[in-house]
Amino acid sequence: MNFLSPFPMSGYYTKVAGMGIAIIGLLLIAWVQISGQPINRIEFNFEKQATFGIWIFTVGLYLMAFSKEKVDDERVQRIRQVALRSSFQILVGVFLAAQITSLLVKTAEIDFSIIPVTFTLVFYHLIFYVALIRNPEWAYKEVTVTENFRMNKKFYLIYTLALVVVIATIAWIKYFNN
Amino acid sequence: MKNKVKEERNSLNLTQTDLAEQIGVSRQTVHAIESGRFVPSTILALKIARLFKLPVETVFELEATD
Repeated sequence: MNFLSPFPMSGYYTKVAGMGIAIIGLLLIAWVQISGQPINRIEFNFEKQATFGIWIFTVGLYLMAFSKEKVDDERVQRIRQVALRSSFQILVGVFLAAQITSLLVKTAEIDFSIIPVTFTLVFYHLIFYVALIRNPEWAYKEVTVTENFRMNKKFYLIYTLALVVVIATIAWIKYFNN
Repeated sequence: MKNKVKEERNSLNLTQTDLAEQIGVSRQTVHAIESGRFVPSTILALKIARLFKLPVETVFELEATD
C-alpha cells in the first residue's frame, strides 16, 4: 500500500467553502440578534436559532482551519503548527481555570463539561507519542483528502464496504429484530 | 543564520515573486527568508542555491550563535 495519511487535510477550495459557511453563520447570528426573531422557515431542534448560527459559524471555521492555503509551503505549515498549538493551549488553560473556579467558588457555577477538552488532550498525547516512537511517514507529510484517496483507492474501497456492512448489521440488529 | 538570498536575487534581476514561483513557495516566504525570520528546510535551501548556481554554503551561512 502507498503512503496513507490517517489525518489528511482538505484542499484550498474547502477553505473557501468554509469561509462562505462561516459568513452565513455570522449573518444568521446577526439576523437573530438584531431582529429578535427566528427565521421561521428553518425548523431545527435548537432552542435558539442563534445557537444554530454559532454552530454553522464553527463548522465554517473548522473547514477553514484544516484546509490547505493556496500556496501551502513549509513556512505556512510551521505557522499553522504554532497557531494550533497556541489556540489549543489557551483553550485548555481557560477551561481548567473556569472549571476549578466553578468547583471552588460556590456562587460561580459554570455549566459546562471539561470532558471534551480532556479527550482532546488524550488524543493529542496519543498521536504525538505514537509519531515520536514509530516515526511514521504521515508525521512528516501533509496530504489532502484527494491526494490520500488517489494514492490509496483500494484501501478506501475496502474501508467503505466494511463500514457499510457494519452499519447495515447494526441497523438490522437494532431495527429489524425488535 | 545569515543568507545572501536578496543580493543574489537582485544580481539576477528577479523579483521576490519570480523567485517564489521558481522554487514553489509564496512571495511572503521569500521575504521571510531574506529578512532572516524564517530558516528554510534543506530541500528549499538547495533549490535556492541551485537556482542561483551557487553552493548552498555560499548562499546560507551559520552564525556563531547557531
